[in-house]
Amino acid sequence: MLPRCADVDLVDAASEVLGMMFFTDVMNGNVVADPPERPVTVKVEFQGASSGMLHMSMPRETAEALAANFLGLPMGEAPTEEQMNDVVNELGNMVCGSFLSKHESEELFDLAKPEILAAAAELPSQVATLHRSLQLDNGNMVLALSWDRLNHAA
Amino acid sequence: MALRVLIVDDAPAMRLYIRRTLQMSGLALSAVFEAGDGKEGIAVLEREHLQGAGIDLVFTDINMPVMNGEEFVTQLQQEERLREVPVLVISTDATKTRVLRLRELGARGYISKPCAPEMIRLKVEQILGRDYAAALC
Repeated sequence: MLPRCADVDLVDAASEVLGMMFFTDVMNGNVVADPPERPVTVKVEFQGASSGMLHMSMPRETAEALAANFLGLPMGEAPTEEQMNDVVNELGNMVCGSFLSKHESEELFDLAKPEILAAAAELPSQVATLHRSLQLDNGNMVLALSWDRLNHAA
Repeated sequence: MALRVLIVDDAPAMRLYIRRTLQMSGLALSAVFEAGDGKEGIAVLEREHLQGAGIDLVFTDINMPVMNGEEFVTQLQQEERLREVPVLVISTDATKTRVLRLRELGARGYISKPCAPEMIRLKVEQILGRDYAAALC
């Protein structure tokens, strides 16, 4: 059994962050989707009362659209590679922090600096990893949460 | 009265987001400064204080290299000439423990990310009063 609706809270955290700060709606919080081609993937490790890591992966086009929204770029203007990576890092940081704040309201946690992974990097696939694929209005996004509390539940 | 604001965050994208949100919110701004960590933030505050203009409000992240947000707030409280500058923490870490700790250290307000642009304006009004919320045009 998952700890206190971890799957729901993870999707809620991503939906809140994407809606409020990236002007992007989550159309469906649990779609079946193939891993994106040419993905942009960010990893955020965390520790505190519990520890683990969150991976977020999305097609490059989706990452560019999210970055353009976040930065308020004029219509048709694409972000630079550096801007896109910076925004995806911030997205990972916010989703992970928002999720943990829902679960660890009394405990301090520390987030490591988000890290963009090489395009060929694979998402973790062990049992104690929670996967969710989100359908956004500009592409799909895959979330993979590896968390020691899932280990205890597995 | 127009605001002079300092944004302390190691993520350039987040600094730009806060700057843009402030500019679009209708707050009257006369200057917006940026710093990549707490140490740089202290340097900007001291420089502006020495030049006589000062800073009206500081936004700071928590997780930053060199000097993090908690160290930054602590350091400000130790500087007699800077301790009255109100600091608004903006971070993903919204745990009660963190918020209470930052308040004890001297932060005047806390905004958890994600945050809508209206929330940033509201917090500024709460801390500085509505006189600062005069429209730009």
